[in-house]
Amino acid sequence: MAAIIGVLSLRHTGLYFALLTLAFGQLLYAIALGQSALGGSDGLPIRPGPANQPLLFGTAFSPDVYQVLTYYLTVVVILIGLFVMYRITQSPFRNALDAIGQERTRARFIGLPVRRYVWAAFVISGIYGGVAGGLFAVVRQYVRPEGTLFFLRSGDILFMAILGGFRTLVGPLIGGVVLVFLQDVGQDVTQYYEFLTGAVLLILVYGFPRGIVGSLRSGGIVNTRINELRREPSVLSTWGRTAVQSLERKVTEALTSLRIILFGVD
Amino acid sequence: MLEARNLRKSFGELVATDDITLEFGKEDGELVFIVGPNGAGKTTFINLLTGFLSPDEGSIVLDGDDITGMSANGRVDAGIARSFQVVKVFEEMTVRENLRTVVLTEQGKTWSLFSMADGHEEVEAQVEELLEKFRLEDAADTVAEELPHGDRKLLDVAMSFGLDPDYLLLDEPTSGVSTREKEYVIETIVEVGRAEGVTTVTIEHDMDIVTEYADRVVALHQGTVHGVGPPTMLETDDELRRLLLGVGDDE
Repeated sequence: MAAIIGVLSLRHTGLYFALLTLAFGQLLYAIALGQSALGGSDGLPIRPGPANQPLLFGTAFSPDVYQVLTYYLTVVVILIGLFVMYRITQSPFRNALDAIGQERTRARFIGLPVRRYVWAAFVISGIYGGVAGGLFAVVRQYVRPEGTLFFLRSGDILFMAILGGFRTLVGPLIGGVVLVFLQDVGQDVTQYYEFLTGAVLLILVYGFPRGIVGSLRSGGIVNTRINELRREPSVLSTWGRTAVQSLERKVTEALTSLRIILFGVD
Repeated sequence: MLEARNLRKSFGELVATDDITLEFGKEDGELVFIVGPNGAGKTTFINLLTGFLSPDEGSIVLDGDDITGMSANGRVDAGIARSFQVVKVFEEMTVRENLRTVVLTEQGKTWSLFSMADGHEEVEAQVEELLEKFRLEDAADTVAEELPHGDRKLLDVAMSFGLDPDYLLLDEPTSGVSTREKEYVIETIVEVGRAEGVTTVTIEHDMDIVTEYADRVVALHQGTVHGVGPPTMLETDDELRRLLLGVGDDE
């Protein structure tokens, strides 16, 4: 599936590419909803029939055992997935992708067929997504279009990547853990827990664009700041002053805007 | 031999190259310099040859084969490499990683998903050789964006050389380089180019450099070929001298 959508979407880059993949996602969602063969909005159990007891490797287990087994199955698949991805990040293929990411034009002029490589990367992430989807079905035992093909689900996955940090290996994993944790804890504290994740996203985008793992790395913003602090503790006051100053500036700006809106003049 | 036949390219009203016919590399390893005032169509001409742009009319022929419709990366495989006027390197990689990426690509190893990028002995050997030739050993582990300008220019050229080209098209390899470094940069390029027998076509504004190193000079003016000849042409052709007079380094 990723192979086909990749060919159709990768004619464009940037925003158009993102919108196209979103559109394809919605298309699949609509198909899943509309087709009675796929169960419509009710979805499908993973093993249809009156018994409806899922099998694992051809054997039936009691629900409790099944839960534990699927948990460890997930852990094993994640470890395999991480190992495979780790090898890819050490391979010449990664050099090619890195080159394309950093300077697309130059990548063409060292002889890389850029679109084919980006397509391959797209297919690889498609495979990871497919494996994850399969596991999701095994764990939940039931697949509904809302929980899987709806675009907010893609948003969640993207959020995990941003949270953890792009261009890091374990970033998305950590991002996933943190997001699920945030949502769970948030749900207990307030019914507006979506607000919490939204606020975290804003802080990330403005303060830590490299994500959790990216920021903690050498050269990341956290390390840089900590080193500055160690070398010269007085920078703390500078930071404080900058923060207060920019806050004051913003307030003044906001007041000016307000005056203009209310009175029509400054 | 790399030939341009009646190349024409216009951007709206502006005709950037107007019916250019030229040949390069009749003799292996010749050093050709392209000169001409700003807006003469020098960069456009290089862009056409390397597939960065496609011509409105005319054709590009490599050793008898028409390559006009060939993709940019296809032309690199066919032996045409280029550098850019504004340095285009992989900024977040070190010098060594930049060169390694190039050599891996040149040897067709970049589809390997599970070998170690730095584990290919032939590749590493070639990377070391490039570092040495372009005198970048000391900077090998510096990230590209932190290099001094002259070294960045050298890295850009070294990357093009790493592609093992038959034809190398350099768009102002000395632009923005201090006068002191200029000589060093161009000398390195000429030295390596001569040693490998690579036909080099270089856009250059510094007439002292052109006079000193060129086998042949091509002068462009308003998109057409003003003249082709030995470097002494710069002394004897009065009209050319007038055209080039007062031309700065920055375009």
